[in-house]
Amino acid sequence: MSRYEVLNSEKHRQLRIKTGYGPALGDAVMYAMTYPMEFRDIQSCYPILFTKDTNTGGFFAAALLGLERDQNLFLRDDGWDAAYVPALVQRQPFLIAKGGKDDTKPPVVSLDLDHPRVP
Amino acid sequence: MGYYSHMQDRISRIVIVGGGSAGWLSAGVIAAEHRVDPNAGQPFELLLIESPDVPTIGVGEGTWPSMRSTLQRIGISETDFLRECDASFKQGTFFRNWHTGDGDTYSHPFTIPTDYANTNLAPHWLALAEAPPFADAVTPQTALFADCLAPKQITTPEYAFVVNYGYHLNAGKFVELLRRHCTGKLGVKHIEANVSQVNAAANGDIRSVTTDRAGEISGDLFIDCTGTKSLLLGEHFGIPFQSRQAYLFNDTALAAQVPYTEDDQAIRSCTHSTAQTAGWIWDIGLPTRRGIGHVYSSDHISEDEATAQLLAYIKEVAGNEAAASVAPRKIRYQPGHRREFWHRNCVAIGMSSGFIEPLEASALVMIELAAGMIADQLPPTRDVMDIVAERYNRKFLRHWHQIIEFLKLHYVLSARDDSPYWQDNRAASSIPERLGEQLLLWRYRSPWHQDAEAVDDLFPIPSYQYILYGMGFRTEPRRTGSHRQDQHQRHAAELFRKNEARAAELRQALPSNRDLLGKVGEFGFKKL
Repeated sequence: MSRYEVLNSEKHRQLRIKTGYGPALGDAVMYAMTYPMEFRDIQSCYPILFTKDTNTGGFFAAALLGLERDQNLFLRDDGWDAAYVPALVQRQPFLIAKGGKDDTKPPVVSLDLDHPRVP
Repeated sequence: MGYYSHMQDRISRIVIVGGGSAGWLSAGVIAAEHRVDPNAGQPFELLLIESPDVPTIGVGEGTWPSMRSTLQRIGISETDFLRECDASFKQGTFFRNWHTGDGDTYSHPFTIPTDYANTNLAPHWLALAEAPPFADAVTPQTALFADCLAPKQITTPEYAFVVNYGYHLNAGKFVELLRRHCTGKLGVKHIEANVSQVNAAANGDIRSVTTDRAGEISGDLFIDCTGTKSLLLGEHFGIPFQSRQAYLFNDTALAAQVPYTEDDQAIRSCTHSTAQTAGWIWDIGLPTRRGIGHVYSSDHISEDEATAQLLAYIKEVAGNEAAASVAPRKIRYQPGHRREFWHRNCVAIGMSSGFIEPLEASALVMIELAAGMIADQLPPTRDVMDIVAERYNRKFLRHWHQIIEFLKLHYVLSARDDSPYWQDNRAASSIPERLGEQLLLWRYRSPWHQDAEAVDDLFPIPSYQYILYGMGFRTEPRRTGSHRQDQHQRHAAELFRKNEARAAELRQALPSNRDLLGKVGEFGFKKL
């Protein structure tokens, strides 16, 4: 499960994040979502797959990392074997959060306290 | 005749008299194919005269899968259609009490049997010692009926399918959508007026119609969509109506709208048809309500009794409260059709050409076929119109005969003996000759490709298989074995196995109708 919190300089000042890549850090995934602004970097290392969200039917682009569920062919014992790591992998465990659909406040940086990168 | 006289004869203005599903579907299909262009040298115009005073009958809440390509052809997005017409997915018909009347059931799904093109599974199914129902054995579709599952996913593109489907829809809203689309996007001119007079030209064609508030409207081709009145073809040209009540007895319908008992109640994937003592009750699931009605033979049951049976059914499926609050609407009709449908420069579409009970939802598909043929073969000049008309009449007479034979099949195969209605339905004099011959043949071999009369038969042969073997008909095993019998048997066994596996797979993968319709409301289908 995920436990999201808005990043706070007071509350999280002691927090440390595990860097590097590996299955234990949540990187054993078969794809990472990607966006056109990142395509130039992504296409140098990964096939870009356009597929549909099974919930909404809407298209999204993904950097293909493996050919079956939980398979990431770019993970090696000593890390991530590619010149570029997808931004959505790099950013873990952080995310940009917005309130509900009708929230007009600016987005805030948050993090998932249950992510394996958070000790 | 020289070149210029041909030009004089150009068909450049089509006048549709009458709105309703027939008028607006015809307008949509023809206008989508022949661009209404006011700037052309000789402009092509499509006019529809609709009476502001006559309500449409609004029958035909069930469609065939053909409606998907018709809507696509007209240029309506499936998402808009589903959202605006209160429509849901229909995958076939589920029959109850038709065979013995003691709770028997069978299905007629829209998907043809697995590998039908190469393999006739019927004899193999007949040879099984412990056979599941025929439809369950040969298609995975019926496995979806019980759980009210959808025929596709939200990721499936518009009009594409995982299993074949048509629709259940609100006929009134459907007409509104078509009217908006035809007038707003396709350039159809909408005239609200009542036709008071039909005016003949010197050569016997219809020259024009006189209206009460839009004056005289002339045209080159008139399409009669005036309902059972058949104002142009019937009244003006006097083309006789041919009753078919000798074969199909039903002539009255009581239609009701019934609310769901709970907000999240399942929306069924198929039309339910439950046989009664002198007719049958339809039950159609729309997203917001059910359409339930009793169609019966007034010669065999009184209106009071028919109403009582309808209310008893509604009480059973929707509770006392629903039964107490419904106000069934009575529709009387004469089962049959006109002797011809296209006469001179006038063609009748919809109830003006004929009507038969809604047992296999043939009303809308006949409109689609008629409009499609007119759009495809629209005579460019008057002097070729008679050739097209002759072909049209031949084709649609064949369609009507087939509808009558195929619907009659449902009644002939019944073993019900609880009322004169069912007994009369099996009387030799009430069975069309060709159907009698086919039933004799099919005792010794099951219907397959060789039984198709034409490529565009309205009911494909698999439909006959579903009804025959769903209603307990037995075809005797052939006495002469084939040299490749073992091979055929192994292949058939493999198909039965595959079908079962596919059914299990689909039941996992497909959402419920209600879930999918909710997502269509929220996100819509994608074009790709």
